[in-house]
Amino acid sequence: MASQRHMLEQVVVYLAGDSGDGIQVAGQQLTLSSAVAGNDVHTFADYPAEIRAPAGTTFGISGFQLRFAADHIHTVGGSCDVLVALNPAALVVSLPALKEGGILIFDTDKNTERDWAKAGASPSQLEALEARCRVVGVPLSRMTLEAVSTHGLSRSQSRRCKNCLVLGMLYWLYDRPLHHTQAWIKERFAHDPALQQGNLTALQAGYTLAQNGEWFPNTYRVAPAVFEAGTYRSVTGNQAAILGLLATASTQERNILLAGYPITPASDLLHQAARHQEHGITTFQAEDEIAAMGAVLGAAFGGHLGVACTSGPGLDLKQETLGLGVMAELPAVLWVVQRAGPATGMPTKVEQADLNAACFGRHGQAAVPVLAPATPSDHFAMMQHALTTARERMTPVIVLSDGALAHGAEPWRLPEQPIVAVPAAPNSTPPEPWLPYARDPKTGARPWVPAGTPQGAHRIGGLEKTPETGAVSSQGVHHETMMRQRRHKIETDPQRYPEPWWSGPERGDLLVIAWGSTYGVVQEALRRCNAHGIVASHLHLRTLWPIDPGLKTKARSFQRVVCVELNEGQLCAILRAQWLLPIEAITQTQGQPFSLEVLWAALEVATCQA
Amino acid sequence: MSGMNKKDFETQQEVRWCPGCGDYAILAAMQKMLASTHQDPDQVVFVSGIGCSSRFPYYMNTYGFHTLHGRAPCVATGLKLMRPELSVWVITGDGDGLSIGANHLVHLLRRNVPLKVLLFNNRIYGLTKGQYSPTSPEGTTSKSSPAGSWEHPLDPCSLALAAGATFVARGIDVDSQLPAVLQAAQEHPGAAFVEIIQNCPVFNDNAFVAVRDKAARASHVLPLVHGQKMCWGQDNQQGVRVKPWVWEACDPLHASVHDQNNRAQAQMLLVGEQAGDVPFWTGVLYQEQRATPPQAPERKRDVLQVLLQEGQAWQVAEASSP
Repeated sequence: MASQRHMLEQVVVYLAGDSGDGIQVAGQQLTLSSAVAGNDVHTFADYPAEIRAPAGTTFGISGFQLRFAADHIHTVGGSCDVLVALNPAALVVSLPALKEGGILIFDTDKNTERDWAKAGASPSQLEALEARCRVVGVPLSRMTLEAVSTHGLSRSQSRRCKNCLVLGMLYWLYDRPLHHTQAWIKERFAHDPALQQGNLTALQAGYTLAQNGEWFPNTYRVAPAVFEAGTYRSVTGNQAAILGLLATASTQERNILLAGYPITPASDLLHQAARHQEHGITTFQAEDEIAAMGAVLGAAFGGHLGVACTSGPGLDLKQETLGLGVMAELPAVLWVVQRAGPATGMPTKVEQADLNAACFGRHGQAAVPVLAPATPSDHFAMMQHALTTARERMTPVIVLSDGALAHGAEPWRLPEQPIVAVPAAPNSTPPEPWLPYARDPKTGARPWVPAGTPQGAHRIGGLEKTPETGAVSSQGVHHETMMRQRRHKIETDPQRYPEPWWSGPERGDLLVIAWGSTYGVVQEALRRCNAHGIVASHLHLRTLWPIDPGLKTKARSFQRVVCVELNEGQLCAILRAQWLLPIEAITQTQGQPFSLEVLWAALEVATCQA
Repeated sequence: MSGMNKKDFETQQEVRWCPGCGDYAILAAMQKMLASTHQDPDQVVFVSGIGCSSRFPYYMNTYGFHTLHGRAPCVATGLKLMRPELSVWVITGDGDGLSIGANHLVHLLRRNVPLKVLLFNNRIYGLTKGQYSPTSPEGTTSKSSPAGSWEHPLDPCSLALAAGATFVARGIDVDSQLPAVLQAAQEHPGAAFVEIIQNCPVFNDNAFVAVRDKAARASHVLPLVHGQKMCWGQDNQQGVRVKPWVWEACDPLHASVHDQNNRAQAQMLLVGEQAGDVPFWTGVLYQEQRATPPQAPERKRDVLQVLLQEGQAWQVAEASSP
């Protein structure tokens, strides 16, 4: 049927279904096709800790939010324009996200009393929705089975093509090209021609059915955003981190070790790195979290850089080994994808509450540099900075990513100069005179003479040392001297650490300090502040320890300083202690990113009080 | 390296074990073996955990890393994976290797990472001043078990064999055969596990008096030699015969031949020893050849741009820019 194509500035789509419905995959494909069509995109994956929770129950719902726009955007947006709910449980869980007057696409084959009962609701709820939004009931399950019936798939295989049918519909609704997803299906199911054909057919069928059915009188188009010319790809934080690792590996003669123990949401780093053994990366799946960190120190003793990747409880378990790295003064990177804690907490939900553990989590005076990427694509540079910092200062370095950054995707223009930092190779011969703990006068770092270096045999360990020689010592004066030297080499030259991102004027009403995944939402809140006549700036820290003392002067040029973070005010407390300024905390700990509305409301209150 | 002698492996560091500690003899045996096999000190690494035994690396003029309690296998594994050409030894004890670090020990042996593990077993925690350990026999009185320990001890070699170790051996600190056992471990292409009976004269003196005392040893120890009959005692007047699920004392004529490649026989000897029917054995109990961690594949270079575009990249042309 003929339909009218309306131009929109932006669209927010939310896909929700059982954890086995292929929601995440469909979301990623819709993201890629939107990016290829020229839109700016932002995504957020909200999935359950259960792998395959009982079908149709509310606790097993997997969600994926995508925002695509004709202008540059920094967040996944607030409430959604279209919600695809593959069963009543998905509808019940996700409905609050749908905006008034939005489109609800619902699988009418899942509209039975039983389906609704599993969701703890009744079918009457759907009718009640008619007043609030436009309900588009489509027999998605039946249509999928019919569409793929000729490909010889089992019933369960056929059902799993449903996500492609839904994608096809959305592609027609928003004028997206099919070919990228078609290419992906061909590659993904190359080993199984029947599944390949089934998914291709379902995709095309969804598109055609949407075009010919009467469900969508209007279709929409979001014009391409203006991007700088160049080659683009979509990256998640985890992908960008591994690409950064590959970039550093390409500068090194020696392989880099990536060691991990399976843990959500960091395992993905191990999976991706494992595919790149030919590109200067060696991966090791350790028997536990402690062993992964220990292996990285062992590699460092042998002259190889290494990265351990973990999340939540893994950070706790690695602390003692990090302390050994501090004491022995070996380069190592610990990459932490933060999740809601403590203990098992909410493994798949986002939080930024590991800052205190990263800065202060070890016994003794054991500071290490703590870095944090601000966006998914910033993970690329941050991995290179982390490895270079570890080498330059001969210390473990902690990087705090989080679940929203690690799995969030954005378009990324490939840099013309991908190498942003190069760690120096270890010493090829011991320096003269050979003193394992003599320090570089500029950096304060000790020499790196790997095991196996001729004439370099020496012993290191976790016991306190005599300055310069490194011989074991329990003299108080040696301990104090070495402790000061270890601290000095971390604190010296703060400008050599990844620089903060600053936006806005140098003085004004309000300074918002933030770190990590809150970057986007703070940027959007800043726009709104400016629109309301509030002179506001945004300081986004990418180095969290040590805190550059020079930033204090900048902060003092504002009437009010607030710290926005997904914890109970950890950075705020650190800054208050360091700067003695009355900084206020705006916090949230619900396992979800800040929404613009919530943040804006908090900022407005803060400025009104100013 | 030719013309090496024991002194080449000694450090300036004053050795600080208690007088009479078995560790001195083990240190000397190791230094002697490395010299006699012409090892380059710069190619040898000792990695240790925490405990009396773990001070060992400080006294070896090689590379050394004194790590964390129980974690030496982790550090050594990372090192060996990246630097397979180095000779890497793990020094541990019954507390370090079988209590806090047992997990790592099991996985090191299972993976067959070509590390040489020396577990000094003195059946007591020495550095923390005398608590019972995972190898202390039931009834051991110690500071933490004044009424005698109720816990059943663990047999290190049984654990190693069960973990899939490809080399299991045992030696005694003061036994002149110890360097030969260490050398066999050094030459084994995979992970080697050696339990070394070590006397703690301060907290658990004479725990092994029957097998450690030179005079007693002859009548209490069965020295295993591959391809030779398992005979022992004064003038080798006693033997051990192993048949499937049976072991028995016998005369030397009927003694079984020790086959260090026979896993079933190794298990039988361990079980027999626990039952008290087989004497305390020393030497190489078991050895097999199994794959070690693979070498890194050949490096592909100049592919960074290709890798960055992996997935689905797209172009934004000049024309669409402002």
